[in-house]
Amino acid sequence: MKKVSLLLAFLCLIGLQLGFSQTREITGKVTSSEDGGGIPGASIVVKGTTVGTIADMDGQFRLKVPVAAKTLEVTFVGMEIQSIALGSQSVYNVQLKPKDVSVEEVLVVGYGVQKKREVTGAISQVKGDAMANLATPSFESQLAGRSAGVQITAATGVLGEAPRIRIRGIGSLSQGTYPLVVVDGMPIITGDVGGDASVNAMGDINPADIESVEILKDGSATAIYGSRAANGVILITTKKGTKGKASVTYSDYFGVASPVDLFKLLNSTDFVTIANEKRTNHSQSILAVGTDVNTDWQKAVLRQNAFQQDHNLSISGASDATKYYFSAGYTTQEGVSRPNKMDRFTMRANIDHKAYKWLTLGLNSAVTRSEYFGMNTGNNSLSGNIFSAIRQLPNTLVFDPTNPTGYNIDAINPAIVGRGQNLQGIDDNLPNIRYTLDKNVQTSKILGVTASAYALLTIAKDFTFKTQLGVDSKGTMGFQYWNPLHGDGRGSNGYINNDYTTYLRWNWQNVLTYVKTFADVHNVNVNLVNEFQQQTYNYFYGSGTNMSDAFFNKNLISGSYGTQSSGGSMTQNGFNSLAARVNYNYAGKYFFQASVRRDGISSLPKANRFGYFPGASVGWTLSKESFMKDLKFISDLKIRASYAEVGNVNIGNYPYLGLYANAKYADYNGIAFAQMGNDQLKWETSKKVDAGLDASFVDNRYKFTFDYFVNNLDGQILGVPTPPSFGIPGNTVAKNIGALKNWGYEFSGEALLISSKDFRLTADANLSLVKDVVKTLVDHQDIINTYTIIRENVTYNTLFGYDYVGVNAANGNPIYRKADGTMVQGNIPTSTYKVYNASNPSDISVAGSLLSTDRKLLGSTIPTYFGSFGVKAEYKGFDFGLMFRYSGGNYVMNRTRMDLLNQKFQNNSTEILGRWQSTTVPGDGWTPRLWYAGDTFVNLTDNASTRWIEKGDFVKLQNLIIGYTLPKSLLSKAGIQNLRIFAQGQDLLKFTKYKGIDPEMESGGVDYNGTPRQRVITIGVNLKF
Amino acid sequence: MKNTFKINLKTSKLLYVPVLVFLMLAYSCEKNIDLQPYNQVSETAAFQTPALVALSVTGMYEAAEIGYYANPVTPAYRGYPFGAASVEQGDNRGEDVVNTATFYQLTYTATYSTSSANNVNFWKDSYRLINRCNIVIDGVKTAATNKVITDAQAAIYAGEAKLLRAMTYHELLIHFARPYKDTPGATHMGVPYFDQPFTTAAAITAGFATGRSTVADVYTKILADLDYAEANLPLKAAMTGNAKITRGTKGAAVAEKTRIYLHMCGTWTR
Repeated sequence: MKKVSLLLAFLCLIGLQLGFSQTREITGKVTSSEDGGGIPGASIVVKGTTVGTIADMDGQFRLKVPVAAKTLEVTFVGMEIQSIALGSQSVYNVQLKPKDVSVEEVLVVGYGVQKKREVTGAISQVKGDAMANLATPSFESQLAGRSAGVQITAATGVLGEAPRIRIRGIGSLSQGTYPLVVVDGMPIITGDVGGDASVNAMGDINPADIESVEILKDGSATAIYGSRAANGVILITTKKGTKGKASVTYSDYFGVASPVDLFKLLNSTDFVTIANEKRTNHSQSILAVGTDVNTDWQKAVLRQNAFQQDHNLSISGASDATKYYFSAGYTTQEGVSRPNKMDRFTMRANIDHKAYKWLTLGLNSAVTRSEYFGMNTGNNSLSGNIFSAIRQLPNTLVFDPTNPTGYNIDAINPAIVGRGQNLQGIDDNLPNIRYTLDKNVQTSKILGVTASAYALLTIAKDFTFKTQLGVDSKGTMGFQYWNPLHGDGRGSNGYINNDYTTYLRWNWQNVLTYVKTFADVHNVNVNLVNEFQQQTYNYFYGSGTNMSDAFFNKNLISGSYGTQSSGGSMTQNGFNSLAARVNYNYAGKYFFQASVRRDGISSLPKANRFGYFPGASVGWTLSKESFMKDLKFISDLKIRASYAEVGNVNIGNYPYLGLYANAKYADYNGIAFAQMGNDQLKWETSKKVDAGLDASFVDNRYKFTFDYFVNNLDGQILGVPTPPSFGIPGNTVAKNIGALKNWGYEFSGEALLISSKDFRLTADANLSLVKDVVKTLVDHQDIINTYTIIRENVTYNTLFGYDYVGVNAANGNPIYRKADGTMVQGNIPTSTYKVYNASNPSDISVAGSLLSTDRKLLGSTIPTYFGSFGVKAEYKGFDFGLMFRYSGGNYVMNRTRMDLLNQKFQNNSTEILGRWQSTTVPGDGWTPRLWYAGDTFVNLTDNASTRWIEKGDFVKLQNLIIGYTLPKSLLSKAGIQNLRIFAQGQDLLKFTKYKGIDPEMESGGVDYNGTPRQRVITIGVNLKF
Repeated sequence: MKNTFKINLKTSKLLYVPVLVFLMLAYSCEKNIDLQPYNQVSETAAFQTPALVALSVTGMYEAAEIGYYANPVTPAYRGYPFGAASVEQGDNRGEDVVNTATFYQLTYTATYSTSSANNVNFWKDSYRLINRCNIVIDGVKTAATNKVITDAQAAIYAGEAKLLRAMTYHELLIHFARPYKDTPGATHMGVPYFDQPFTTAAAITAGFATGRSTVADVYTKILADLDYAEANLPLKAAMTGNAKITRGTKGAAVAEKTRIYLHMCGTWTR
């Protein structure tokens, strides 16, 4: 390379001598932005001419340029091109930045890598840098908004609860919808791995170790994963050492988390008014007395400044033969709800060693120890953190020093929270929620080991063979303790439980690869894969109630409890597979890929356990065609299309077998028929079609990707009802009968708007439009849930309930529109329905009805559009980035709002102040007359109604980052290569009309007493030696 | 052939590594996917050993003692068809109690309908028990044929199952059909009668073809079951320990038969 540039320079010099007469001389120095040192051999050329030179051993140059010359271009191998505007001065010092990416961008695909320009499937890549330094319990929540077609929703702020991931819509009607996750080729265990606090297996991955995340979205990209691919595949690649001397990096952050919002609860004065109005309207005596105390119980439960910190240290480097990356990480994060907390220690060692010309050995290993401290988050549980916090009476105290416990516990009924001056204790026997959160314990402590070792053999010319043996294991110790004095444990005089859960998965893969180019234009790449996997799950527990004393609350202690119980279970599953994939391209212009996988799955009956999963795709790089040559502004243009059939085996372990479960008759052990078998059962199938386009313009400054997709899901496993007189367990048989369709469009683009010596500005955005429709159900029968319905020809899980019109201004009754369009009012005093006559609203003489047949479809729970947009800027040492995320088109059943308007002797939200009081004070027209204990009738508890259904549209400022990288000159003396300090915020702003805390806090379309999501603000440093 | 071998050897011995691995795997057994459950017993194994047969018979009684009150995914339990709830509902049907609990109010005021939870679940749980009885009757027969258990033992087990089956059908008739004497010869509709286990898709297809039997028909079958039970069950005195009070006996079969004849009033011939 050097020789060539020398030659070039020589030629240029000759050109210079012969060329122009009107010249002037300029001088300068080319340095590297990395270490400030000179760059010998850098080439300096006047743009659009052959006039140029190369820098000398110190990076100095001297050049005669035409007076008319405008721009200088400075280039060097591995560095970004730098353009300098020529001014009147004669000295130009130029700093070159190393190129961000290696020469050819590559994407990780199933069982290998592919050059990005040769990929014909739909794959999104998210670089680890984009998510590094973000305070997060698990990295995948930070993928939200970063990739078109991928929707990730963290419904609560509870650390350890896994966010919901949807890749191109709903993956299954009734079975698992979690994508397959593969780390460095090893498919890992995902989901909750046991214990007594919520635990997300993905939280075991240290985000700082991630080099890149690839999300395989379409059929052709996922087909190589066959029966596991229907919900999409997430490939995680961890960091490796890069050539050069060892570099040591250290990064940390410190931050505080707080709830994104709090409920607007009544203060004491309003509470007393409302609570007593409920009673007097119902002709009952008042209960609420006293406004001296004004407690916001949310603040007793939710932390306003939860402390979070994270530290990472890594050493990496590579010689000719060996690459290494070692890292250690520690994070401790407090959640927004007491006592939620996580601690995580991680260690990783990735080593690749080229032992011989023909043999490379490698090991990727990670050990993680994490501890989660959880709590009761039951959305309908008396000690549920939010359920209780929003109901506690504001005119009562949290702590009471006169009580032996120090907490405000009722003197008359010690099962409930102290009543203060009120004439009666709180309804529903709610305990002091702060006491239960402080005293009760729910923990999960996990030791996770993920390791894979491989050998890569070059067995002949053009042939390589890789064999990889991996293991993923989780051992989770759970512990739960309920204090005997107060709260959940009072009834049983304490409860204590220890449990242990282990998952062990081994996986063996063999990949034979053939790569060959024929006649310079026919590029062939063939992979043969076989893969074996088996997973074993074990669980056991021991527990006791009737504790001798609260003292024995750290572990099960022999003899410290009365009634004892124990139990356990064990399951296994596995698969073995053969797969083949052929890639062919002609001169980088025409691409073709085909693959087929044969999976044998333990979860299916012998006759059906083997399935074939084919996929194919084509691509055409138009920009390489001669007819496009003149369109200089197009740097790259490729169209592609794919089709594949993949499966979903998240269907349980033995769904096909007729099973006999334990059935104890009094004290005698027995077994009995518990699951009806179906020897015809198969995996669920997803037929995926994709058509896409990748384009980039003006020297790749503007990039654009478009995809259209259709996923036809059939063979969905549903329980087919059998007549109860057959006596079949559960009265259902599992059959492959349902069908569902998802389709949509994805757009994403990025633009390099400004690129100059000191200033660089990029912008990116993506938009996904996704729709779905249920095609087939058992006998066309609706599946009706509490608030939603699954019905043919409408979108999956549509809200289903009553059409609420408003309040009858004449008497404060709620009015509903029936299915036939007529209106009825619920006469609150008698709990009966009466016909509503608009011309005589106070008339309640005609009996009416509101029946289950009056329920209507009330809107989709699945967002129809979502995406993000953001900008990044760099100015001298400063960097700045922000990302907005948006979503909408869905409706949310705000059940929390219903709970906040309860009619009991409990607190309410300020919305209740708009209630109907009289014909002269009709209120907001939406909140009916108060009626003590009238919940079921006035609010239609456990039913959806348009009174509570709201649009879920939002725009959020998801991330804001400001950083400053100190100048090299300051650092080099201290031996520091790079030092950056940064501050950032997450979930800082939201723009929505949604009345709850956050429209994303829904699960299945229902917002139900979830713990508020967290807003985190952090500061930190990145340091490199 | 020999020639090729030589050439390959020369190019690279390493070529045999993948060939060996792939060959080995192609012929390897499907051990890692031939998995059986550990938490439950597969139906193919349930009647394979004397111990498992005994467990299945005991498990049949469990369905008599307690049934599901909601769907089995999030189960709640009630004592149907012969547990506590059943007795309590019976008390509330009569006139010898004063009800104060809202749970029994529908029964107490006799306002229950085809969708009342207690009725629906009583129906479901009764047939759940009947299916288990049919499974046991079928299973012990197979086990005896395969010499897993003795014919004598199989007859006792089948006797227990038939006693329970007779009792359950009779309970169903009491609740879901008109009395025996409603029509001469009891030719009015009773309940669907099944004496084959529903464990296969073929059984389900056959089941759909079966309609309701007449009351007389069901009574005849009940009596046949009880005759079998009487003939094959041991006397209480011949049993040991708690089995004396927890398992079906000859005496129980006779007592139940007496009860049936009382319900058939007018056909008293013995």
